[in-house]
Amino acid sequence: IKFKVEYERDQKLTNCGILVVNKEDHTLGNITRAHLLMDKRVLFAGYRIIHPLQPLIKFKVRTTTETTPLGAMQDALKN
Amino acid sequence: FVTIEKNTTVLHDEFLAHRLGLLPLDSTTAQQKNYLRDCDCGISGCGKCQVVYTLDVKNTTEEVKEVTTKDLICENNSGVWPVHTSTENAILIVKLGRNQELKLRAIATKNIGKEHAKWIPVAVATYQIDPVISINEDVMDKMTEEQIISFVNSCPTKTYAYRAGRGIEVTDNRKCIYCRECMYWGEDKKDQIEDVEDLVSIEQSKDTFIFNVETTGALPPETIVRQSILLLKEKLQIINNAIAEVERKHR
Repeated sequence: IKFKVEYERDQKLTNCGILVVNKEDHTLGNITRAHLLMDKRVLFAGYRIIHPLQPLIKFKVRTTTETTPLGAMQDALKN
Repeated sequence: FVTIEKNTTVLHDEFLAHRLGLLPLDSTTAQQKNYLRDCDCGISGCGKCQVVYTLDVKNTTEEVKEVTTKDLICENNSGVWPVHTSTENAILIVKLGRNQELKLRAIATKNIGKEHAKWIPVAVATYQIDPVISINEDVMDKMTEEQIISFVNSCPTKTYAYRAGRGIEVTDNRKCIYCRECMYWGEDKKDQIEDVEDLVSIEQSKDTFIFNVETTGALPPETIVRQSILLLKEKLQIINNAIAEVERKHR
């Protein structure tokens, strides 16, 4: 399965989503998470590497109603 | 990749291949070359993804002869040399005794450090964070001159300086080594001066980093730092584009 990015909306909370990124590691995960936390519209941002032998990152982002989690990720990545 | 045709030296084949793999090659033209897996020629190799070297040395003298990187002859193009500045600094590969010889063919490819550490162009990379030092003026006014001078002298790297008119000044931000001597200075003076804990606060600046990069000679450090930032940007761009596509599907 060779996708780069997959996104799922969380059912129970509003404006919350889980983004799965393939073939990346802490190098990108940590700095995007730090950047997401600097954004004032982001309520929750975290990442984890599910297993060290697999290069997958799961980002969990929750935002206020101003923007969507995907939008916040895109802004963080652009800057 | 190393193909050894004749080896009568004291080092065995894999040892020599390992040593050759660790030699730093001048990589300023490595940008234009392709990775072996991405090249158009398949994996057979061509001028765009490989550089071929030959080494042919035979010791016919009585003394010990040294085989250095000077003896590596580049076959096709002269772009990529092993790193040596002059004849004295040529890197030693193996020493030959009487009647020993070495003949081999080596292929240099482009790759990243995750595959094997020999492709990492950096020997040491460290980083420090700029300290942000701020001094509370009100507390400073309550201190006598002796106390101020003893405070200024408590810092081992002399980051502070005292001037009679102006009070305590920070001479150079980066001299601070976070030893917190200046903060501990106030511990036993709590009854003499009020609020002495607020006198000085040392924090780490959130966006300034000082990187210390030492390379193996394959690339100059400025190029490495610049390239790494560009690569990071590219990777983030790829993820960004992928997210844009996924967003379209979601609607």
